[in-house]
Amino acid sequence: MSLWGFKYLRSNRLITLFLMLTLLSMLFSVTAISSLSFYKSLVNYLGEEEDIVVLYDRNARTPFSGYVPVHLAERLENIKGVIVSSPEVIAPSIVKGEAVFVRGVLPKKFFELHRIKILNGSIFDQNETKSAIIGKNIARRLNLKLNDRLFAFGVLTESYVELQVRGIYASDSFIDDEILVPLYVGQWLRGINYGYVSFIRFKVNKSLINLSEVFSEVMKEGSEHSSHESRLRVELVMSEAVTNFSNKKVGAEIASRLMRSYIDRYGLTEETILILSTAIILFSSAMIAVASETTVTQHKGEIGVLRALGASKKFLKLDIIIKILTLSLFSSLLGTLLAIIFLSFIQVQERLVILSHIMRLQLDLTLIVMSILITPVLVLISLFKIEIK
Amino acid sequence: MRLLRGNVFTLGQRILLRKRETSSAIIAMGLLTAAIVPMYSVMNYISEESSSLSKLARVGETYLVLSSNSTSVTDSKLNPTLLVKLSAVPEIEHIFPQKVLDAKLNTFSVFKVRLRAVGNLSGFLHWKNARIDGFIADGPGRANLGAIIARLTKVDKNDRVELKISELTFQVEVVGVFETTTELDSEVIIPLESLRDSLTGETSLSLIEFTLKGSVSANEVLNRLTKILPRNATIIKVQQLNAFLEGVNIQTLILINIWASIVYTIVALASCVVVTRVTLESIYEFSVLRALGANREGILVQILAYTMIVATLGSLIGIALGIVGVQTISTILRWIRPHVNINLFLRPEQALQTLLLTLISSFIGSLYPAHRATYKVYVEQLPQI
Repeated sequence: MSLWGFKYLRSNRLITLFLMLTLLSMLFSVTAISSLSFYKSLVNYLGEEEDIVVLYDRNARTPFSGYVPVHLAERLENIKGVIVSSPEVIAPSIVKGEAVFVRGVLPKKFFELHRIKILNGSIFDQNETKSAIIGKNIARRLNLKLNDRLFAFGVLTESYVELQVRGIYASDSFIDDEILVPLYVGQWLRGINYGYVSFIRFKVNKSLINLSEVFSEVMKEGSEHSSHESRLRVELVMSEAVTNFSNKKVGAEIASRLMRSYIDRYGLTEETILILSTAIILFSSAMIAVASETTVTQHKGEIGVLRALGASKKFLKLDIIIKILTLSLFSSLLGTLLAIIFLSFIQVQERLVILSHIMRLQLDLTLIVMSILITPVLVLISLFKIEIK
Repeated sequence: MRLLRGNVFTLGQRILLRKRETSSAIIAMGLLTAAIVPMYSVMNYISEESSSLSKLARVGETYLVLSSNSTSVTDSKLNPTLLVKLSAVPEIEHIFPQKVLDAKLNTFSVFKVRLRAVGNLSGFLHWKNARIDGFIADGPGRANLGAIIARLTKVDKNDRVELKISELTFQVEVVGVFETTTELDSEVIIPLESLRDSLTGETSLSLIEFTLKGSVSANEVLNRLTKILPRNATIIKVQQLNAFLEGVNIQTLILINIWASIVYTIVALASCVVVTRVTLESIYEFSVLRALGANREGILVQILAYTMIVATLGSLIGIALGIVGVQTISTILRWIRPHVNINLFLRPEQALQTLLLTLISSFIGSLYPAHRATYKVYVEQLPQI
């Protein structure tokens, strides 16, 4: 006897279960996708490539709060195998009433390291201290256009600057949410003197030198007394050697690994995100069990008729499991799809913002498969427990 | 009759709450609510971490007065009488009127520079902790150059340079080069009186920078100052730490609220399931209640009250479970990874908000099935005993 074509489960009674499973699957996907996107965006904040290394302050809890001597960038420039070094200052600021990160850079160095596309206008020169170029996202968010003037107010220090928008750029990275200014302007807004920067990013040719060699070269005592006038010093008129700084405070690490280690300090890893998301759906599993049981109870009459017609309990249970499992698979698919559409929509609406940076949605195949399968598995478990009367 | 109705209500609730399904409904609702707690706790943790920014800086009380319709500091025009009014406010510690202009500096080449004329220049540079190589300009024909502009233009102290403002050209002697690590380092600074002598007839100010005394209540003084100021002038705080923290926290809050709205929709659906189930399992009980005199409205109230009790107990258990859960997770994390410094916590107002929103969602979710349940003719559905 086959019950496949026999529609004894009434669709109007399955709607609540279907909606609930769809929403639970959506909840799991939204939690997992948004958290993982945030995590991955943050990991790639200082650079995705394995050849981008960061010289950073070991004592700092975030990449924004530390400072390292800028003269180390000059030393880096003189090491064979280092392609380019870019000293950078990150200054949390307020522009047009919004929280924004302003990044002080040496334009020539920065653009050698980070590919950006100027959409409108041009790049500033290091000594044009009243100029800025702004990322496409921040331009849209603050409604800024070419040649507009803006005030940037310091957050960590009592300083302000008036800047003119010289260009608008796109980089398809977190930097699209930042304002790039000459290094000095970053130092003013961050409140550090001309001898320091937040960190130094540099690109290495891995076939010529490895990370530990670069680090020991940079940290060599007295290597700043080089007679060689570096390209960086030519560009940076206010470069000052810092003498009272302990080299032990400085570390060097591949950009993505460094960011991972910062995030790791807060207990956030890809695994913990997945565990948290799974915990949320497991918390909801009791409701899945209640909803599944209710669906079966609602069909008590129909099941009774089928039992009277000779269908065995085992056979009926198997049939119900197959039918509800198919339904749950559809609902998970729909839930996952809805989650992606929903997150894409709020990303377009620029609501998917954390620390003033719009998250880039990063879809992970394992995550999607997990999202599609987790609800049916929970439904299966709860249906196995149900007793057909 | 009222007494009977009251008794029927109590009886109804007792019957419904003693049903086997009630405990599983409370647990299910509790677990759903418990899922919200970690999210709020994570949000609180992020807020707390961003607030730690404030430990990195001492927040100053410096303010700017600018004309509100200006797009640039050079466009800003303030009436000089405003300075007199502000100077009379006893809570103001320092006050520096300034006129900012775009100018050209002629040395070996022509450089576009920003010229800032400042009242009480000596006090201003001392207040900015300027390091000065030379002297502070103290009269007409004298100027100070910021370190960046001095290095770029290769001008040193005691050099004479030509400044051009619009069509007016005048010679100045650079009496000192200063460094403040502020935007002033890329500017030329002269005393305000010198500019007035050179540009006769131009008396307006671009901005007024002032600081408050440390002991005063900033909000109170600012409210008073706002009343003194004309409509075309606005006060802006220079260091905006709180605005930044608020902005960052709002961004996180928006994300959490979007997420929580999905959970509350699930809570509403869960209530719908709970009510559907309880009405299915309580046909006999409702029939008895109807026989005892309960009308449709009475049954509706019974079901809604039952849902509210389940939702209240569920959310209270859920909140408690959530708090215990996040505390356990953070403790375990600290044990297994000592470098992880995580402190998850839930604020009392967030617990109350979770409770209220769960109740509202449950109420909304239970309305339709409860309403449908009242239209069932229970007598016909009584099981054959």
